[in-house]
Order: sequence, then structure tokens, then C-alpha cells
Amino acid sequence: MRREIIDRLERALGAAAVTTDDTELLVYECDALALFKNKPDAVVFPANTEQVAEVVRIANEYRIPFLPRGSGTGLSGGAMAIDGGIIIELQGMNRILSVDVDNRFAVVQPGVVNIHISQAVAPHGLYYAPDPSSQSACSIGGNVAENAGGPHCLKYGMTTNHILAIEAVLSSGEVVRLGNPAGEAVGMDLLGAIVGSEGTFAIVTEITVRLLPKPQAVKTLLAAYKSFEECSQTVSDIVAAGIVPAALEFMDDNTIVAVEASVYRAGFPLDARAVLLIEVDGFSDGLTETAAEIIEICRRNNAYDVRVAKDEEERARLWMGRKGSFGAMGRISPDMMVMDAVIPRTQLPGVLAGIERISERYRLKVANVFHAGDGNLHPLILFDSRHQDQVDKILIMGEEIMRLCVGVGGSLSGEHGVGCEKNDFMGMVFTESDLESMACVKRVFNSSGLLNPSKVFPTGRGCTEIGRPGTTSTEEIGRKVEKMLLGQKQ
Amino acid sequence: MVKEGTKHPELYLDCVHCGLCLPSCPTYRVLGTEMDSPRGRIYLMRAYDEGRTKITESFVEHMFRCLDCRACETACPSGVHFGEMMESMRAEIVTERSAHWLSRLVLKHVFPYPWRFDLASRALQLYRQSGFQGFVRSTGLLERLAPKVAMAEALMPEAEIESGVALESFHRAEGRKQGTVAFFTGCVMNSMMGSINQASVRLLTAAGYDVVVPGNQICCGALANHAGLRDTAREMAGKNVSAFDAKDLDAIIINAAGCGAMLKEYPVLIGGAEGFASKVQDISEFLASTRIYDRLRIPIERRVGYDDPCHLIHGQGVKAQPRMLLKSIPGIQFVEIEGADQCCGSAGTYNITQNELSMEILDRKMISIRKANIEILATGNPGCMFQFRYGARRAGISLEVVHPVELLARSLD
Amino acid sequence: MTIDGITPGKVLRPESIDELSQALRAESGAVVPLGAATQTCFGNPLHRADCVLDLTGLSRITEYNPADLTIHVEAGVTLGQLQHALRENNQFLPLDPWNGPQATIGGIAAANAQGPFRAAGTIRDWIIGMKVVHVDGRISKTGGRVVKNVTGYDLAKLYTGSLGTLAVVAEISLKLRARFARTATAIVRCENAAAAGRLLSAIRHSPLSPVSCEWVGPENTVWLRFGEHPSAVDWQIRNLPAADWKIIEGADESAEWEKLRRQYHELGSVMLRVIGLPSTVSEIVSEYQPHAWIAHVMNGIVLMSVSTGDEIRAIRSRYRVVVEKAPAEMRREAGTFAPAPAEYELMKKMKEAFDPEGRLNPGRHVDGERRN
Repeated sequence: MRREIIDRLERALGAAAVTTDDTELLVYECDALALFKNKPDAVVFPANTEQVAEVVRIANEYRIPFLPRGSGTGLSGGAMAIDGGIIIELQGMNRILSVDVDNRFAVVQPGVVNIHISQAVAPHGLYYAPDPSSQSACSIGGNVAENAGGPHCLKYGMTTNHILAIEAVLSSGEVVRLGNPAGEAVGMDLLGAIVGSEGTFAIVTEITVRLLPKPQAVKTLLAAYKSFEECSQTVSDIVAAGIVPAALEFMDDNTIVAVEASVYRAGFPLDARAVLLIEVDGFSDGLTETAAEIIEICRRNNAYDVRVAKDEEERARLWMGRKGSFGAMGRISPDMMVMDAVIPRTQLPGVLAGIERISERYRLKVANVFHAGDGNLHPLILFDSRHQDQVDKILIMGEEIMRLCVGVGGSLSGEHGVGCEKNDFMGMVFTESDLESMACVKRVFNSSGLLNPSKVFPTGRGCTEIGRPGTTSTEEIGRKVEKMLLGQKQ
Repeated sequence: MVKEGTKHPELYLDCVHCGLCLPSCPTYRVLGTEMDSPRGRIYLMRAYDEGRTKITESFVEHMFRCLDCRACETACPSGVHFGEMMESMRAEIVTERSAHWLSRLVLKHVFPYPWRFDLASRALQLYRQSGFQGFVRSTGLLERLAPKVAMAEALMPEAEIESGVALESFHRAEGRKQGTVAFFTGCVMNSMMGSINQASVRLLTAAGYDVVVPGNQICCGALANHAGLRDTAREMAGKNVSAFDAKDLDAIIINAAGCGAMLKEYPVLIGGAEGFASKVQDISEFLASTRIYDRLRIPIERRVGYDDPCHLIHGQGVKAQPRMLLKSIPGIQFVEIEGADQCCGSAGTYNITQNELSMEILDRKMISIRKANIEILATGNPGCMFQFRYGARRAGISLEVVHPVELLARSLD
Repeated sequence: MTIDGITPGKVLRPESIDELSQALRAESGAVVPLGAATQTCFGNPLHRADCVLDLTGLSRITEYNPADLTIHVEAGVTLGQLQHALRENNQFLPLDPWNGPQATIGGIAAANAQGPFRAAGTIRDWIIGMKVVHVDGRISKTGGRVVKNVTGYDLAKLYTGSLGTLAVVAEISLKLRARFARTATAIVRCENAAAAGRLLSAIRHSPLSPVSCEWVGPENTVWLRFGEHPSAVDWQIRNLPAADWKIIEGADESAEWEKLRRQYHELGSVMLRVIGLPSTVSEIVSEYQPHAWIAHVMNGIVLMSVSTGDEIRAIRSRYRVVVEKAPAEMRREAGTFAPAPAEYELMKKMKEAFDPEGRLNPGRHVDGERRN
């Protein structure tokens, strides 16, 4: 990056808040999707909205791409500087500005960690509902960008249902405020469009979130099964019975082994083929009956062990185990690829069997841990990036799993976003015309096109660098894998 | 396990880059920069191993800015052995870059600030006994610092120097004998905070154990190891292992968390240390399972808080036992401090080498302490105790900082 | 038929999305999409209307998957028709907009129409996908057919509430929920506004979680509706703050809420939606002394009847206000939404991006607002 631009940034933010040091830039070359990486030209650490806007104006002046970043826990490369440019790191803006207990909302800066909101308002009996598995680390700004989900979205809705108002910097550097603390949409819902726009519409610099009163009572159940089918049928039966669980999570045997080998071991049965983690909450009255009804459904579907968490500590442990499960894969595999797809929940048995077939064919293990209640799958492909053939295979394998899910009426992502991971798959679910409408909206918010470019929309070029240096295009990988698979058959 | 030759792929491959460690890291919490997070540091180590970066000045800076508190290990779902990785990386840096960086760091951060010599001089006492001496001399540092250090040393309060437990001594169990333990005196504890060692031995004998204090023990080597002086650390580990006759002991007791974590990890450094390491227990870990409770009879009617030393909670996984012991003192009002499991910023010599950052971390800690409104703070590591005493002075809080064994001993009938 | 005093040149009634697309492709004038015409006086007055697109012909439920709790309907399907279809599987769409069961789903979405059932949000929160036809006849979709989805931008949020000024909503996919095992309503008449305010404050600070919590004035009645597991409903009824509550259930309950719905339509010819906070609802009522009001207390919203444009301006100086209903001239003068400058600019650009010639419902939304 030119000295002149660095000088401008340093003058705007102070020298300590700008880095162009090669070693330091290295750690910003990817987010939690470490498979794709590209180094930014600079990382800046603004302290307030005005500084963010100033960086954006400077970037505009020199026509440099820029993008926001929070904790870098995103799984679709949303915070990866695919075209280089400036990463605007918002970690420094991490204050909870105000809490209105009476009206149940909090005003926070984007760098605040999701769970810190709930911790801060817990003394008032309130909490912030969306709970992505990374909630102990992910930033609320990132949640807004990705419209993050989590297990409890089943009952309480996604991030978009909990964001009441924002302050945001548009790609021109203009600062806008949208929404109101009552959460009442007024006409065209611009705020609703920005939530989930994967950091390509605006940089959100202040967020008003809805707080909910903690439920009077919670019951958490763990049911163990010897087959996927019985597990899936339980999910369907719970839904058919008209029960709205707070969460309904599925973990298979591979996942259980990994979690039980980690610091988050929770006592998941190692002999199960799969377990369901089911939670119901609400008024104490009626909850015991609902839990009993669920236990009955589990037993009817041959759950060989059903237990109810006896106290808050056991409940917390079960959830820590579930939420630590992606990370725990490191216990059983050097690398993993987290997939995210949604299917109509009735398609679970067929799709799980299909994934198993794909896994066998490519000879790479898949662990399944996902939000069964809303059909949001997370197949985790386990591989070793030191073997280039495995790196090559997972991309094709991932695509095959996606096609399987889309084929039954599903979708590419339930909560992780498209980013630069699945943008070339967008054609599987959207037509040119669909994409044109999206592009139309993007042009309004991101008129300069400099904000987080080459994301969401198909680029046809894949990511800048896939896995290790030396790999090139996806087509080439495709050919290689095809050859490999043919070779195996012979 | 770390391979010889300082490459450590098996260790960093455990990291899946999920980022769950970030908020647990004290430097990340203060700085908000990825390169000062556990994930970022691992990423840099991996990049170095893969030849994508060299050991640049900023590389060194970020590696040494780590407190080595291991809070990230407690948060890591993937079980990354961060401490091991960091120590072997530091060892590699020291080998690769000789020692000039340290000289620069100390000169940059200590030299211009006279008040820091107060801290530096205490640390120097550590240097003498911890194997740093030869190393520091080789950098030419001492000559440049010596005059001012001598002055600072002269200013040090006499009262802090207390005699400890004599080496090569034996202390008989009170009442019916339950077993025999050996006591690891630690260098700082015994020379500067000797009363803590005396209290420890009193508690052990009160609990019914014969206590032997082997004579050939030396500094555990933790400071050398954290600073990347691996060979020095290995040598010290070897001497200590042979000083204790582990197989005839019920336990080897240590009351400094940093030393305890180090002793337990000797097998990582040298072969044949498994027997020794398996016997090592922190004093609170050991006492919690003894009959000591019956002897805690003198009430202490004070508001007492406990802060987890990183090398006890994260390094050794000891969290409940010290709390359990303190709570069993009659009359005590035990207060849980918010963020007790987070580092105080002391981290060995960190408060000297990374002073600004250390102070920022300390200031945040003192806010929670003030909130807890306690009269006495107990914590089981000398570095942390120094840091808290300094922190209380700095924040203008009247606070008695003690080792948990001091309170327990006060309650002994 | 006239809308805002304009008689449209022609009315087309397409019976499929393709026909709708063809109609739009063929039309070159101002196009006004219309459902059951239950809320034609909401939004800014139309500037022109060359062609009305009557969407009641798009009345098919295209797919209903009870086990997946999803349904896909054409825009002209009415809310009544939808709820009826869901009933057999003991499911429902948890909405009760004031414009009633005859309103079309497309119309409810276009206006983001709402009623007293507020606990589950508005239709915005239940839409999982949408198919729209653009002014040039192009068809595009957003979202999908699954209950949780972040694939691509959520344009349904933009179309919802944009009053048919960006594109014509043709098909909507909705997620559903199981009907409440039991509902019950508690109504009490308070002595005066201050007493009602105290009671409502007690309710807000209690563990009760009503799905509707309405304060109706000037008679000062408080309406609470509970819907949950039967035991949870019972518990809440038992734990109501002390007052002379009338508890109603079953057919009586529906009839009573239907009465309130009618009352809404009789609040007055000028009605505002004042957006405050739960804690400021009492203050809003006591400060502006409306002739009549219905407040969604848990949401901080007061629907109130006023008389003059000056009153609207006065309230707008303190609160965000949407003009729910008013004579055309007053709506033109005040503007329905009165967006802030930066918001106005964005809305305007959005409108221009989707409808560069300004032919979709011209004047209805941002193009009929004054720039503040």
C-alpha cells in the first residue's frame, strides 16, 4: 500500500491504530474459514463511528476495497480480504453503551461479544436470545452481518428478529441510523435488508438489541439412539405433536467422540449412534407435562436412554459440549470443513443417508452435528490439509452435499452465510433474475462497490488461494478429483 | 509431544481456527488484535514453520507479549497445548535471534522509568537463582543496568525478606501419621516470602504428614522456560528430579502455582520425569483431601476473595480446592470475584518486560476487586501476590494480599 | 372504483404469475397492485393510476407441508382462506391484522399490516421466501422454502412494508406454528387512565407474557390474551394483578376480539401510529389526550385518533409517527412515514433502482413523502 495512503490512515486514527506490518497482516488473512486466505494491505482499528467513516472516505478516495471484521469467527469467509485492501477491525469498539431494563433493550457497539450482552443484563433477569455456537467469542456486529443463528433460534428466531435499530456507515462514508428501539418497522424495511447482508451493504457501528426475560423454567433432555432414522423420526414427531422446543439438536457418533475427548466433555454416551439434545422452556406450569410428552415420543422411537439434566450445572455442561463441538473436531482430525445447509426437516433421514454415501465414496469422514428442529445441517468434513489430495476432494465433496440438500428443496446456508465460500454455488438456488434483484439492492447500499467485494455473488473464479499455495482453479481440482475417483473404481 | 528440532506441527494442527479462545486471552481483551490472541499466535507459529514468515521484530514482540497464562487452554475445545507450543517457539526465537531482542525490550521498557526498578530489582533476585544470570550477562545487560538496580535494591523494604524453611530439614506429623510428603521450597517463596513456606509446612504436619525438605532442590526453571531458555530449564529439571525420591512419597508439595505447573510438565522437557511429575500437587490440591478441616478452628471474620493464579487454574486445572479450603475457615465471608479466572498481568517477568499492557490488565482486575469490596485477597502464586500488592497501592485500595495457606494457618488451633 | 380520488383507466385480473408478468410487461403506465382493497387509504395518496392489477385471481395455495410447518401461497390468498387450510393440521399463522380475514396475504405483506397479536412479531417475521414480479415483468425470488435460511440477501424484508412500490408480490412462503393448546382472554375496565397506567405497569413488570396486551381508550379497558400450554395459561390467569378481571374463552373470546377489531375501524378518520416505548405509553396518552386510542402496551405503540395536521406535527416533534389513516389531503401534507433525511435518501434510491420510471404505485411510499 502506498505510503501516502498509510499516512492518511495514520493521521485519521493515530499510528498505533494502523498496521501494514507483514507479520501482523498475516493473521488477518482469514477468518474461521481458514481454507481460504488472502492478506489485506492494511488493518485499521478505529475507536468510533467517525473514524470508521473517515477510513471509508479515504478508501473511496483511493478506490481501495475495505471490509469490516469482528472476532473472525465467521465460517464463510465474510471477513476475508479477498481483493486485498483495508480490513476495518471493530474489536476496539466493544462497549455496552446502555441498557434499558424497563423497555428491554441494550445499545451496544459492534465489537461486543455476543455472550457478554447476556452476562451484563443477567442481574436484571434478561438475556439476548440468539446464541450461535461461537457466542463466547463472536461479536454482535458479525452476528448482524451474517444474521447469525444458533440452537435457540428454533423458538426465538434469528438475529434479524432481535435487532431493533442500528447506526451504520455506508460504502460512501455516509452515516445512517435506521430502526427504533420499539423495533417497529416503518415502511420499507432497510434495517431488515442490512441484517444478513454479510458486510456488503454497510458497516454497522452501533446496534440496539432486543432483550428477553429469562424463561421461568427450562428443561433439557438428552436422548440416545442406535440409528439416525429413529432420531430423525423423533424430530418429526415432536413437531407433529405441536410442541415448540426452545432447541432441538442432533449429534452423531463422530461428534460425540470428539466432544468427549475435549475439555468440553459432557457425558454424551459413547455407544450411541446419535443423540438429540432437546430443550423446552417457558412457565414452570405445563413444562413438566411437555417434557414428559417428549420423553414418551423419544421412547416410542426406541431411544435407549433418555435423561433430563438435573440442574443448571448439568444443563450448562451439555450445552458447552454441543457448542464446543466444531472446535472439538481438532481432537479427531487435523482439519475440518464446516458445512451449513438447510433442508425441509422431513427430508432428514434421506439426506443423512445420502451424506453417508458421499462420505464413503470420497473416503473422508463426516461428523454431523446440527439444528435438527429447523433442518439446519452442519456436516463437518474431516480431512488433513497436509495431503493435497484431501484438500482437493473436500471442495468437490462439499459441492455434492450441497447439491443433495438443494435437490430436496433445501438451501445453501442456514446461518453461516455465503461469503466467498458458496458464492459460486448461488446458481444452484437462484436464477440470473433473482441475483439481479439482489445486485440492484447492493448497488443502492454499496454504491462504490468497494465494501467487501467479491462476496455473495458468483465470481466464477473461486477464492484467491485455496488451502495451500500451489492450488489453482476449482475446475482443475474438479478434473483431478474426477481422475482420482475413476482411478479408485478401476 | 514436541519433536526435537523445534518444529511443532502436531501441536498446531490441533487448532481448527475457531476463535473460541479469543475472549479468554488477557492481551486480546486489552488490545483487540488478532496477533495478540492465542489463535493469532498459533497462526504465526504455523506460518513460520511453513516458511511463510521469518522471525521478524513484530513476530518476536507478539510471541513475548503472551502472558503464558494458558487461559486459552481452558477455553479450547480442541485441546491445543498452547503453553508447550509457546515455550518451544520462544526457545526457537532465543536460539535464532540470540538474545539481543531481550536486551532491547528491557532497555526500551525498563530503563527510562525509575519506578520500574522497584519491580526490576525484585525480578533480579529471581534472575540470580533462576538460571538467567549467565544469559543476562551474555547480553551485556547487567552492566548497563547494574548501578540503578543496586540503588533500587537498596530501597526495597526489608520487611518482605523473611526466612523460609530450611533445606535438608524434616518436620514430624502431628497426631496420627497419615503419610510422608516432600516439600518443594521454590526460590522466591523461600527467600522473599518465607513465612508462606513455614505456614505450608505447619499445615501439612497438622494434617498428619511427615514433611521432608530435600537439600539438592533448586529453582524449578519456569522463568527460564517461559523466556525460551530451554536448555537451562532442562538442566534444572534434571537436577530437581534427582533431588526427590519420588517413589517413597505420597506427594511432592509446591505452593507456588507457576512452579507447580512447571514441575508437572517436566516430562515434556526431559525423559524419566513421569514418576516425579505424577506426585507433584499444589498445596491446596493436596490439603483439600486431608483431615485439615478439623483443625481450622480459629475464626477469621473478614471479607475474603480468591483470585485464581493462571498456572493453577489453567495450568493445573485446580479451581475448586482453594475455594473449598478458604470457605471452611470459621467466620469467613467468602466473596467470589468477577473474572477471578483471568490473569492479573503479572506473569513472571511480564510486568517488567511488557509494563504498559501488564498495568492495563491489572487495572481491569482491580476494578473487579474494588467491586467485590473485600478486605483480604488470597492467591497462590508469589508473582500474582506482588502484582496485587502493587495494584492495590496503585488503585489506592486498602487490601491485604495473602497466600491461602497464610489464612489457613492463622485459623489453625 | 376510485382510490385517493383517482379512477384507474383499467383493471386487469391475472390468474397466474405468468399472466401477471405478461400484464406488467405490456403495461407502460402507472400500475396499482391491489388485493382485497382493505387498506387503500394507508400510504401516501397515489399520483396516478392507469391500471389496477387485481391480484385476487392469484388465489392458490401452491404447496402446504404440514410436517415441515411451511406453506407457499399466491399473493391473492386471503388470511381467512389460509387459516382455514391450516386448521385441519392444528397449525396457524400467528397474526391478526386489523384488516381482517378477508385481507390478502400479499396485501398484508405489502403494508406489513398488524393487529393486537404482537408477541410473535409481524408477517415480516414469518415470511421465509417471496416471488415478486418487477415493473418490467421480470420475475425474481428471494429467500427459499425452508424455515431457516441466510442464502443471499433477504429482499423479502424490503418488499414487506414497501406498499407495492418496489415490485408486485406474487407468491409468499411462510413458516407456521402449532395452534396454542389453549387461549384465554382477561379484560378489565379501569377507573381512569392513571389507574390503567398503574395496572399496565404492574403487568409489564410481572412474569406474565401475554400474546396481546391492549389498552383501549377512552373507556380505559385493558385486554390481555394468553396462549400457551393450558397449565401455563391457567398459571398466568391465576397470577393476574388484582383487579376485577373478566375471563373469557372459546367462541366468546373470538367474538370479543372481533368487537375490538371493529372498534379499531371506528377510532376516527385520522389515526396515527405513535411509536414510543412500553414505559412511555401512558405518557403519550396523557400528553396528547387523543379522542380514542388502542395501545399495544408491550411494544410501546399507541394507535390514536387525532383531528388536525398540527397535532400530527406536534407529536412528530417527539415521536416517530406513522399515519395509519387520514383523508388524502392530510396524508399528502404530513407524509405517511416521514423518514429522516438519510433514510429518505436510501429509500428514494431503492425506489429508483427497482422502478426507475416511477410507475409502481406512484406516490404511495417514498415518492410521496416530503423531504425533511
